[in-house]
Amino acid sequence: MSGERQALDAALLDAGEDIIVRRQVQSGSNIANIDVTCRARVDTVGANEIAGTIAVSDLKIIMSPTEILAAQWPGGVPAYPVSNASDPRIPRITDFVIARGKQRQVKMVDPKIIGVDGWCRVNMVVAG
Amino acid sequence: MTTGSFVLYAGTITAALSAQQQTPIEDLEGILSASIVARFVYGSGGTTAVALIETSLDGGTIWHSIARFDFTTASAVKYVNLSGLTAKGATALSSLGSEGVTDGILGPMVRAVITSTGTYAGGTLLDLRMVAR
Repeated sequence: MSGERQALDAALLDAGEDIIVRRQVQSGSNIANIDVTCRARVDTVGANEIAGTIAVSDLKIIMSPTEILAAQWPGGVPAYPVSNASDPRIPRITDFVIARGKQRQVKMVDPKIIGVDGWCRVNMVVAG
Repeated sequence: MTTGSFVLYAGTITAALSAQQQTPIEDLEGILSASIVARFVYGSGGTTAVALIETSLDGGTIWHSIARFDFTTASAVKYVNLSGLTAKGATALSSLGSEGVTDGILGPMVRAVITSTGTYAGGTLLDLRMVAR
């Protein structure tokens, strides 16, 4: 495990909360939820960050990929070259987060992939 | 050893699929059993959908079929429970027929291979979950 991710995991253990990251496979009324519980820091957006599509009710989330990697979330996907989509493990704006009792749409995802350590952090904004 | 609940595949079925391999669940060495549930939610169209569950003992070079779920044009939920402790004599491995199972062999990698005929529509969905323990 990378030093950055290890430090983040320790910080989240002390100052974070559990959230659920949910990828939803949906067609019509048929739904399959693919969930993983992650440790995250959840904060309300600051007054100076409310601009454009960022609303006062949105939440900022900082999370580590540790739980996603351990759970092999989201599981099996069509193997390359059938699928040439981006890394399926990184949350997408079509995903949801269940935080503080409510399912929220992911609005922005900023994964941090640093040098040889690789994926070590995700910053997200989710709808309130 | 990694145990827990895993998704082998979850997706809508539309155009015909010719043995579409899914990425495997890995690091399963040491598991004693695998319970697998296949949930097929039928919408419309289509003819057959087959989910073949395979395991590999050599890092993904050779895959052995361990379970097969067959669906047609009706919703259904089917399950298998496979044991890694089932005693077996020397037995030839062969391809699985409809709803077939090969028990007693669980490698460190498990994947799903999806084959379908006809064009499914109406939100037809296949959801394959495995609990390894």
